[in-house]
Amino acid sequence: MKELDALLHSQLRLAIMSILLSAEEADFVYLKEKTESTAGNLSVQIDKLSAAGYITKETDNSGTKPRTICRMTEVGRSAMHSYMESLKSYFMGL
Amino acid sequence: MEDKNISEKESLEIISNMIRQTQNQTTATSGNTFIAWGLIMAAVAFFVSIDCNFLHLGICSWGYVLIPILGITYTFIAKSRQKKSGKAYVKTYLGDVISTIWECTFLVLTLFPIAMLLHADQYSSEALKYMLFLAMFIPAFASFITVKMLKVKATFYTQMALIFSLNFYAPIYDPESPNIVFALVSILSLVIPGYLINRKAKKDNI
Repeated sequence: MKELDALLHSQLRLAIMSILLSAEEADFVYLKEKTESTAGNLSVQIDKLSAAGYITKETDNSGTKPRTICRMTEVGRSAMHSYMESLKSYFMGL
Repeated sequence: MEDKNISEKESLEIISNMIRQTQNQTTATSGNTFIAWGLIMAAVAFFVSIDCNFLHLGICSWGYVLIPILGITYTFIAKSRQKKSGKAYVKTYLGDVISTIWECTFLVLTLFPIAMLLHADQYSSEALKYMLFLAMFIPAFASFITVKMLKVKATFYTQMALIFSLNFYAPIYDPESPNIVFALVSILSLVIPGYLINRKAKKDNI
């Protein structure tokens, strides 16, 4: 079995990446609602994923409040693909 | 959720759960747009019908120009209100495909009449009157594809029946009195599916 990516093998980070896998972009409020996490914790995890190059985040100032928009990068997409391949090989080996 | 390690089984559950929730989110944002555009189309057709038959203000078929004007105004206001509200925002691939289908529908229904009018001297006035039939058929077809993509089973078969009915209606289409039929088709192809899409979103707890 291939080694699971340690950065992705965490409850909150995997949830963020799974949302961004099926969405072109999502804002901080959406990620917070769906993951039912605290703003502080979510922010830290987004920064970790962003530092690894898995996602990008940008601030949209066009509304009344600034909005943080997150998108998955090609690096993140390929990391998720490898992660799911590893999971697949794990379950096939059972 | 927290920053904690998980088992392989939990990983799989998180991935499928988050992907399903995000895909369902498209359903939640589509219903009201359907209802608004459907009501605008039905109201304009009803107004045109009243003018042609009773008021005789001379607006008649030109009244249909109100549909893109009111529709675009609604879409613009709804989008800017959503942005200002600070509510959760997500742009899904499914939503993007559905938006593209409706943008193409809108373009065809806007550009085709303009092109026809620019070359009106080459067509008989009868040919121009058949534009309204096209304006019934294309949105009904786009609506049929949309509900299929959103997996709204309750309205899929009624939409299919509507498309079939419109095919049978084509040979007996009377270009002199299509306004009420246009209003009815708008309600059947947009307003009712819109309510059913909203009901599905509510049922799925989105």
